[in-house]
Amino acid sequence: MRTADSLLVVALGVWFVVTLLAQFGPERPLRRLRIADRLGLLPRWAVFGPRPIDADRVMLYRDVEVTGGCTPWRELPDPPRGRVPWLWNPTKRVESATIALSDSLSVAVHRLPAQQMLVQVPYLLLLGRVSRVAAGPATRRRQFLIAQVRVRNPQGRPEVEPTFLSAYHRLPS
Amino acid sequence: MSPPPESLASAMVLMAGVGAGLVALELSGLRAQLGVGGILDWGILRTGLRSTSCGAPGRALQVVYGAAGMSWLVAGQVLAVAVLLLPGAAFEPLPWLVVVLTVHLLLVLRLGHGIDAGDRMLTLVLVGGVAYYLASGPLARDVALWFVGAQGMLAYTAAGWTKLVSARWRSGDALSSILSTRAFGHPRVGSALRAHPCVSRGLSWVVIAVECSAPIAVLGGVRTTLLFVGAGLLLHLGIAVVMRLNHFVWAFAATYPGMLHLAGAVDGLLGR
Repeated sequence: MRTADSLLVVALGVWFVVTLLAQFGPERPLRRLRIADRLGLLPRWAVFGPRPIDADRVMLYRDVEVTGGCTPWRELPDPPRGRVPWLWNPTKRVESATIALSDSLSVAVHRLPAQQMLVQVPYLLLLGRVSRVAAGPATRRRQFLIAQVRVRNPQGRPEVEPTFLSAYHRLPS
Repeated sequence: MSPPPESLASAMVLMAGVGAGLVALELSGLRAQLGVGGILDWGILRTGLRSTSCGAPGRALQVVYGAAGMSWLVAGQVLAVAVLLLPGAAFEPLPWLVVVLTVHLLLVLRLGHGIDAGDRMLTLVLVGGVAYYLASGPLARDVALWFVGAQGMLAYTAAGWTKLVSARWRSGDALSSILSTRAFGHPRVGSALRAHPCVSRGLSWVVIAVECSAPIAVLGGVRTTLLFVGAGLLLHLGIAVVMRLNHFVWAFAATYPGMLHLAGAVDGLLGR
């Protein structure tokens, strides 16, 4: 076997063994690799298990007006889906990102000081999304809330659990 | 008997190519979310890692991920995939496959928090495809196909195992809850499963059984792997229709040629 082929075989073999360890091995030795892995080269295949994504991460917002009063909480609408989403579904990226960013914030809020939260990437991205909703002329500042909404009963009654409340922010003019 | 490795590699690359092309094309429908103030705004995402925000790589990515750069990336990906899909192997696949892999990796980096298991599997299959056409000897080519097959087998096994050890999955509650969400569910299916927990439990066990059976199927040889391929395709088509995870079909089906090649090797070892 040529040297290049040998290198290829070794590289693929090592890659597979590391992926195997990432599934069933201890978490700690691979933690650094996982953090640096922005290209998804070291996947974890625990798709929807053992703890399933059983709740929507819903974004709500309210505005503080010139008078000092607040508007009621309003839900940020979902981006529209196409007619054949089983074939063509760009909005799944927005849904996946919203879940990942919301979960990051819900964890970070317990370990970071409030000031530091304001410059976290998930915070800024979600703030950007909520800031794009047009505001009325009387709006001064906006606050957003993330809630997990789950439906587990046969009646379809939603259970709502707030997981993160933002600071108030002035909107870009 | 397993089909010849050239046919398997060709099928693998075609399916992964279609999946990668779909990922790229769908991004063109997300301009608002990719732009300033969107949930995938690169101006903010890039600050999360020094290598993507500073120096020459940071500046290069800023250009690549600009509006014009993204259009070129998508167009390049569609062209490369179209060449791979041309009948009769009109062009040498390796350079085009390298383009598809490179663009796919750039798009994965661009998507940040928006990537999922389908994107990751596409990367692994494309790497296996590049390795196959890069290798000069038959053993290295076999290993490239086995790598993809083993990754597919591992993905199913790990996904099935994590469900099997979950009491919520075994009871059917997890499945009915997931399918009751707006993000991954379907209102009518979710409602039906909540009203009929025994159906949800039965379906959950079908999913667990299919996923956990991947290594058994491969060890059983080509015939049992073909049965698994049929079940896997049905599972992914169902997931595409109900959960709208459309690119999973292409990503995971692209591992089946590798799994068949592994199964063929098992048959050969056991003299079947």
